[in-house]
Amino acid sequence: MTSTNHRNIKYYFEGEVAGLLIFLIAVVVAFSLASPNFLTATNLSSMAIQLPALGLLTLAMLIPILSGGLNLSITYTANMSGLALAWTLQALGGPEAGVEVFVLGCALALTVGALSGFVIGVVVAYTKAHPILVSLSMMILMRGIGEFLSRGKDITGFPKFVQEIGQGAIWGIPIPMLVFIVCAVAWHIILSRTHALTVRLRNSVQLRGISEIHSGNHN
Amino acid sequence: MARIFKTHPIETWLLVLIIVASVILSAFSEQYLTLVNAFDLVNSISINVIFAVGLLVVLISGGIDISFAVAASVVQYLAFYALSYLGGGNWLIGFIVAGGLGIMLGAINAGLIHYFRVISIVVTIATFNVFFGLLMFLTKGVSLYDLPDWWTNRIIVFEREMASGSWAELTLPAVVMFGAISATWFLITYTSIGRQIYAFGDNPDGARRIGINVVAVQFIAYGWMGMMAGIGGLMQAHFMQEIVPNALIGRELDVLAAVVLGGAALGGGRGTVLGCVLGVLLMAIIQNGLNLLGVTPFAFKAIVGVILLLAITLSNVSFNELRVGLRMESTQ
Repeated sequence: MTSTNHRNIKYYFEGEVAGLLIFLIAVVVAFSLASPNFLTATNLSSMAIQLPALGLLTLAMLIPILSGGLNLSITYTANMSGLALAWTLQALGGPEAGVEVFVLGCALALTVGALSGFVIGVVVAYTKAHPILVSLSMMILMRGIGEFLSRGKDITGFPKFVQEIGQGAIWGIPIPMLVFIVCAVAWHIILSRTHALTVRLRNSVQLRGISEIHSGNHN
Repeated sequence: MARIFKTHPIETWLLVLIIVASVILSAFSEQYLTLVNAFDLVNSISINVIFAVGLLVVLISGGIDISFAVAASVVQYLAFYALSYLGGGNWLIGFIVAGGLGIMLGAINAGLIHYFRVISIVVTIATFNVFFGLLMFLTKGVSLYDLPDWWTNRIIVFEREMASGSWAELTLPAVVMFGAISATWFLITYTSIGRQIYAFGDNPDGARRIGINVVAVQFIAYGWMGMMAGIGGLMQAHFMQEIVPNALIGRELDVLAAVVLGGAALGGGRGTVLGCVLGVLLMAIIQNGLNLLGVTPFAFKAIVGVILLLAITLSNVSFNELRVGLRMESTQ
């Protein structure tokens, strides 16, 4: 047990991770010295509200890249998911909508996101089309559906607790940050502790590598 | 006909689709099959075709360029200041300056890709952000309206008054588009370096072993793209009569989609100028047709997205394979 832990720790501080970590520390130190406002509670908490959206999208991109692909459509898919939740709230009560409506909306939002990724996955897996192209067309499709259904207008009028999720805090930590931390931990468990998925992902990378060498393709 | 279908299946398919779409549209809309609409279509696709033939060369060489539309905006600003420094300039100086600046931006991409061995999509996403960030930072998002007169005056190359009283006109961007098409076609079909670009895109290791100058191939491919981006930017500013920093952003993916629809492969080594032009034309006809049919513009992108997804899926499914697959299943 100790030996695996030791290996894990070493693994996490090797190569690119170590480089990034040093770079991150250097940036934090440099900004702290350059501006007295950087290392303050106000600035850090405003960063903790802005950062999770990017972080969650990064997690979304991670798994397709691990499988040897790419998904260009994630931002517009995230947009469609947001619209799905917004419409559910608007259709079932608007500002007076209850928690159960919010849960239903979230379920629909996740379904929309999963469906978009699933279609890309099916097309890539069964036709061997290039993931960049498939996700590019999905991106244009998602942007188009979003434009068509919303007519480019804003959707407003949500219950108060929805705002709380975007801007509230528990024990001083902004809720978006908590959502991101939960997701990052879940991603870590999926990628390092569940056997089937990691093996499949790694296999697909290897198989892809081999078939690309055989067909003389490259990037 | 059958022979052409075998050697150029994608081009033939696109041509068939364009003809079918045109027949349907002319049945629904009287305006579609008129010289005025045809010339409008040619004028409106010209800037995208200029970008597309540049991108085609990069795709054939096995790379990809996401940064060209933003590079075109950068060239517009740089060319504006360079031309006012040169005392106003004229079309000849304009083309040389815009093309030259474009080549320089393309060379940055080629240098990063070749000397640092980074994948082209990563490099060009990075340069996309660098170009756009610097552009917004240095211009503070301010648009330019006081372009020199020669740059903004409409140049009509061919015009004819129709019976209906409206004018059918071919403008300068259309002529430049024909120039870009012919030059690219000549480069990739008839020059030695053009054939080397195909060879390198198809099999880079093999190309290296038979002694192809890999550095030259990369720099010419991305330089050609950059030159077309610069000229496209010059034409877009001429057409809009103004320079807006974010006017071209997002164009790169539409052009990429059209070029890929035209049969260029992301793996490299495949693609023709004809297919590329037909790809842009088909996308434009679909938008033009939806417009004439009175479909809401909000639905355009969704419809284009569905068509692209279907096209990419279907073009990767070989019908022979499907038949073989079905036969194998039935014998089991």
